[in-house]
Amino acid sequence: MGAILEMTLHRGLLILALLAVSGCGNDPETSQGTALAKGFLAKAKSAAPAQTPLTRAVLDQVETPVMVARLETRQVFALIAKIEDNGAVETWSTLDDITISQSDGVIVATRGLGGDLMSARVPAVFALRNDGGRHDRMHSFLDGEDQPVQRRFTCSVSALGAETIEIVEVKFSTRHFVENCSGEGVAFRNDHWFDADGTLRKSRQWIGEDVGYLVLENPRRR
Amino acid sequence: MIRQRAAVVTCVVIVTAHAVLAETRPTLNLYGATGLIDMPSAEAQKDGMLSVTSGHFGPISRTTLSFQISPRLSGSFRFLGVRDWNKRYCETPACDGIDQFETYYDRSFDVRYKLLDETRTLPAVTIGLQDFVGTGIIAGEYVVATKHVTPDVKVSAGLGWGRLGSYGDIGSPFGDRPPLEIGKGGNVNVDQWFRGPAAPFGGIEWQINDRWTAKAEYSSDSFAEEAEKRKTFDRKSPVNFGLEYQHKDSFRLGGYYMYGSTVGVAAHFYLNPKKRPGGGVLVTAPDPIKPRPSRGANPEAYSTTWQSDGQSPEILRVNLTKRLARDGIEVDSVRFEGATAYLSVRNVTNDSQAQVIGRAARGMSQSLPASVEQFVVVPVVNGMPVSQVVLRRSDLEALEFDPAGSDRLLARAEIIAAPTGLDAALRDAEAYPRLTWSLSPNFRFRLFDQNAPLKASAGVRLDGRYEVTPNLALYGAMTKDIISNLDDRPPLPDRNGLQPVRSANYFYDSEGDPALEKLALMFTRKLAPEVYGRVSLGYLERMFGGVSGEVLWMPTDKRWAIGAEVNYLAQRAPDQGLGFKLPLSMYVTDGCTDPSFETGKCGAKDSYKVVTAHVSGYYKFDNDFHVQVDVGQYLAGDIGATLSLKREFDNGWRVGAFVTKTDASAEEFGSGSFDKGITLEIPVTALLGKPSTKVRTTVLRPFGRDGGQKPDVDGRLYDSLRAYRETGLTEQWGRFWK
Repeated sequence: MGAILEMTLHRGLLILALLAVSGCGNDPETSQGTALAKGFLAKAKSAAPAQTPLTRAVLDQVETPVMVARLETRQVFALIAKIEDNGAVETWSTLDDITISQSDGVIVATRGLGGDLMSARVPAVFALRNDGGRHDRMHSFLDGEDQPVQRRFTCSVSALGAETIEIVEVKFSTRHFVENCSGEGVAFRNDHWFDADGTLRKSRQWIGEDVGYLVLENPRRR
Repeated sequence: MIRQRAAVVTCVVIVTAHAVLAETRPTLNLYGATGLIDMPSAEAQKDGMLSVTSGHFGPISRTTLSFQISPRLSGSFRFLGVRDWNKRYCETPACDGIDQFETYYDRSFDVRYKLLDETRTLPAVTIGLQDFVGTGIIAGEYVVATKHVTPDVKVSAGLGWGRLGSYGDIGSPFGDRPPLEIGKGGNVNVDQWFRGPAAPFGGIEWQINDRWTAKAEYSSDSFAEEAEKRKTFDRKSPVNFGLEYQHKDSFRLGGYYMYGSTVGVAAHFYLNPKKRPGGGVLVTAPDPIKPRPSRGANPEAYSTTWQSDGQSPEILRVNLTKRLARDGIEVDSVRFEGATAYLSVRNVTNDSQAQVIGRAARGMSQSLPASVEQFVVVPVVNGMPVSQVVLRRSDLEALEFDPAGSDRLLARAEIIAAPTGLDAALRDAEAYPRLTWSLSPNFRFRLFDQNAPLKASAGVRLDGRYEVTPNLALYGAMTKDIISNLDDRPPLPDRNGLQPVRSANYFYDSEGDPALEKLALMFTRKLAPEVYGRVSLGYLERMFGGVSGEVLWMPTDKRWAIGAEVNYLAQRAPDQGLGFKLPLSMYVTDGCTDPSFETGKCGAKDSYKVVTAHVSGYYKFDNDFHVQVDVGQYLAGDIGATLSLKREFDNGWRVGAFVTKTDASAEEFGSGSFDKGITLEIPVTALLGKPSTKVRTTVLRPFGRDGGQKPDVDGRLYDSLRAYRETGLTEQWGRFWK
């Protein structure tokens, strides 16, 4: 008797577990329980799969102009390509629908990262290679109730000097500038590496508290 | 001896008058209220904070849901259990009545209000009522002050009445406490408040570091019933000690040495509705706005010949449909009129309506020719267009990356009522009829039925919906239990003449396996630009079937709405098949074991039909509170009114309380005297961090009885539609650009 009960119990649990994992139906919003179970499973295995490192050989096969975007907190990278221009702002996208909008390489918005940078007031790119210069920044996020929250920072720029960096097996000689920002209890440091002609070759920019730092590299040969 | 103790507490109060103000964490006590160990303190939790506390010592267990209703006001709802209730003592001769249970269970409500915030020199002061509408067993009132003496150490001292004035009292400053009139419980014991003996209490709390806190307190509770009379534990000392550990912001665990004789433990779970786990909602990026070329540079792009070439509009509709499907938006229809494009949409998966509008607008910007300057997005629910969001395309282009883009766009957008019916438009001829279905796990719970704190079943659930047209749907749900202990018979108190419209739920739980939970036809229609209608017919819910009709007047741009609903219903058989014949067995109660249809004993009837009708008024305040008043006839034929008040967070969390008072007397209603409870609505988005339109709703009632009960009909108009009126569309407007 006890054994039978136990078996039914086990079989029952198995069915439940299967349902929780798979669920079924054609309802785009399968029921709550299924969605929840899936969500928690996704969270449990959210450790990023190891990516094969990017090589120049692979890069050379890509014909459209691309940049390499790295998300430090999640230890992932992706190639991004430009999909739209709106005035001075270019929107670049990964294949899996994460977009980074930038004005001359200075990030003004992200989408698809969760705690996205909704909008920003940023300095012009030349201000970021003005040793001793000062400027303000404003980053706008959505809080947990989806209300816009604007955070203001004051920043100063200093030059670290010439630096040779490597981007996907190719070396570039650059000038390295640091932008130190603080405000509202937060401090962050952005790094920018400029080519001789003043265009941005590489940057490491703070997006927000949830997303952390995003590294953008332009791998195009001169 | 007693005087000495009081003097100690007074000294502590004097010591507190130092100029120290610090930010320690406000902690909870074993009652689940902000406080020390068994005593309250004067602090408050963060606005909007929800907590669940499970506190235990000796034979006493308390499970409490607390909510910081506003920065100063908080409320708690508690289940209390005292084990060994009749082990050593029976008040009644045969150990019946209040002594019949080995474990005594009770429910209680508290409210507390923070009168003063802590300043550099003055303490915070809170006044509180404990168990103010329950059966009053743990009723007490208090005034308490809390002050930091160092940045890490805070001291509390207070004066308690009732239960909190039962040990070491200093006399009765406001006169004698009249005896408690329990009746059937549920009375607000105003006459008793702050009357009778008052006793000081107090304690000290040291936040050693971010994780560890030590506490010590002097309790003014004598546990007259539990310790002195029933000897369920030995109360040797008024002093309690504790050590607590905080894990992140969400969990706190405490261990205690209580009343000189016993150990205690408490676990606190904190939920902050204002915060999302993992930051923002994770959605894939939207299409960006596609700016148009300037008219001067490319005048041909602005040609309007496409509108009349016979094919282009239909191609544009198909393109838009494909594009928006990725965003969980279904295109209902598209219409072009000069420089304006009308797009009506159904939201499939988005938790935020503003995001639906924002993505629809960006899809239009990508797909539609440059000559279209104005976008009108019309959300449609069950075939009813609700409002029209009018957007200028050039505003979208200009504000996409504006630092304050969402506020500026809202200032330039217009939200107006949608017309009764949409004009002839392009639509997918093959969209209807359609069938959607899902098979998923199903859980059902029964809380605190006197025998056990929790009973539950787990099983499967098949949901189906066949939409014949957008306005007409056949929907149904079947459930089958796999594991269940809901079959255990709980105590079944007498119904006192009322039809068991809800209190027979045990029979529905145990006999309905498998159960046809619902199967009904629903027809909805917009009757005027601000008036909506619904008719439903069939097996509407677990316990009732019949016909339900509803009309709602809801102006799009206002904060109020008025509705009326009439239902003609018959009670379903507990096996939840197709029948309406009621079995004799469901009339069995603990006091009436031989019901009879012939004599009507135990109130037995072999069928039950009833008309319920309500007029409802709704108002959404601009401070996140929402009120609803329903007046009419309820399921047991009783007439009365329901007041529901909710705190609604913009992200979809809703925490509310309701009371229903009808002409069913306290005797007819039974324990609790009238219907009341707490509702908790949690958007699945908050749990997943991904968009979903689903909401998990939990209703907690201290006593599930038959008075003041309404049928539970799917597709009620106000709840289906209100997210698409102006207040609903704008409360998450920041999501427009997400």
